Amino acid sequence: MKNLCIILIFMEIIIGKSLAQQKTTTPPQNTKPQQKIQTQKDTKTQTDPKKQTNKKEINPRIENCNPNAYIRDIVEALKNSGYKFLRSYKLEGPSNDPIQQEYTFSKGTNYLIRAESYVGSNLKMTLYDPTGRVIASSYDPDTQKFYSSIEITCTKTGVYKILFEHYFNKRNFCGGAVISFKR
Amino acid sequence: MKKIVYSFLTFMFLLSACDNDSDINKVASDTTKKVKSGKEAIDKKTIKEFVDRIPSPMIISSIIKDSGIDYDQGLLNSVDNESKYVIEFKQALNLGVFSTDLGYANIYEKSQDAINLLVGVKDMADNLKIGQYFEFEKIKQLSKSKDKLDELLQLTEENLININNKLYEQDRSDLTVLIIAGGWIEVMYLATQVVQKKPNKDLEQMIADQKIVLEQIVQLLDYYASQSKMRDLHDELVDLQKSFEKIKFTKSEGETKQEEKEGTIAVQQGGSEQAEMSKETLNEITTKIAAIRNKVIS
Repeated sequence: MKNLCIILIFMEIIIGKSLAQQKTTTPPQNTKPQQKIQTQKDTKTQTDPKKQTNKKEINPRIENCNPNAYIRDIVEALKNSGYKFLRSYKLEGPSNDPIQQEYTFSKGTNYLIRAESYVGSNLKMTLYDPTGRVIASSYDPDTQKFYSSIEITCTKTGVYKILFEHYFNKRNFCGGAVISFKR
Repeated sequence: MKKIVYSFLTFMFLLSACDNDSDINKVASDTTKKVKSGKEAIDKKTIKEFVDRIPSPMIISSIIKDSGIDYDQGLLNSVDNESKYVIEFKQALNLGVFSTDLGYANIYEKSQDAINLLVGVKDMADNLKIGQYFEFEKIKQLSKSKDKLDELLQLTEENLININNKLYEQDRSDLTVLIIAGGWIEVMYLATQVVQKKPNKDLEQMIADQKIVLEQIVQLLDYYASQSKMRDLHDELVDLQKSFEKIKFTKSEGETKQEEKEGTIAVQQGGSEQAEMSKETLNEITTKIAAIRNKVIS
């Protein structure tokens, strides 16, 4: 069965190639958008996220999203703040699917949760205590202002939930978040 | 047009033919799954969510340092022991042990010890065939620079997360659980040994609070209770839980306040939680942790 499969795949490739050649010789009306999509895909396959040096991508499309750059920025900002790195999260995916993370916070420890995203992302963080009660939000409805960090002095050890969501923004997630701590 | 039709038919046939193969694989995979217990068949996502909640041992290492307690190399596992770890069970546990020791040495900026421990971490990861996901050279360079602690902690943590993710992908989550268990046992060993030498209320409180983390690890190990070695470790930690049950926790409620402070939302959590742990209970926990840890590293 495997051999048959291989032969058929080979045939499929040959037919596919001839069709592709046919396409390039007769330019269809929508050539431009197709080429654009192809270029984005090519860029993605050629790029190694670990080797990327550009600091921030403001393009929210998944193809160009680089959460590591946001995380690096946050880590850089933590220097000399007294906070030590604990955990990082990549914020990626469709906007209608809020990102939920859980972490065990310890009593007597200060935690700083910082998130960075593209301009106009309206990224909102909500922090829930172990009983499921909301104890902080990075969005102030009175001033309609979004804050990039939440600092908490923890008095109860337990599993805390952090919810990242887009507020009136239907574009995809693209950002990073870091939990750091100090005693 | 003919070519398109032919191509479509070929593609559909190909799909159905390959589907048959995948069915065969599925049956084989299902047969393997049947060997596992029902609990173990729990989806990977649930296990990952459990694992993600478990705090980094770094906080306890940091408290040890902030308490003004001197660095004690003698408490760490020796890299010379690594030849003893020939089975995956031991390799995964000691990958966790060496990682915690590495974090402890890094916090105290003991670069030579950190580099030695890094070799231990790398070797364990190589044995488990996940060494390629560990950026050994980069971490080694950062260990040598005293002003790059944050980058070092970040990279080490990210590498461990990477390793865990790879283990999930490879359907080897049991090893992730062991890495976490090994790391926790080691940091508890460090904390209890230190607090016996130099009593410290903060550290005692932190040890008591580990009751929650212990529960999480026991739950994780419980998923793999069909594996005899995992079950043995699970049972030892369940016995340790009995000592933690003797700690009394007093909770009080209070109002949580939120305010803006220099562009940050600052939260002062209301209420408090106080642990009361007797000297006897602390001694009991110290003894049990030492016994479990010695078994892990031997």
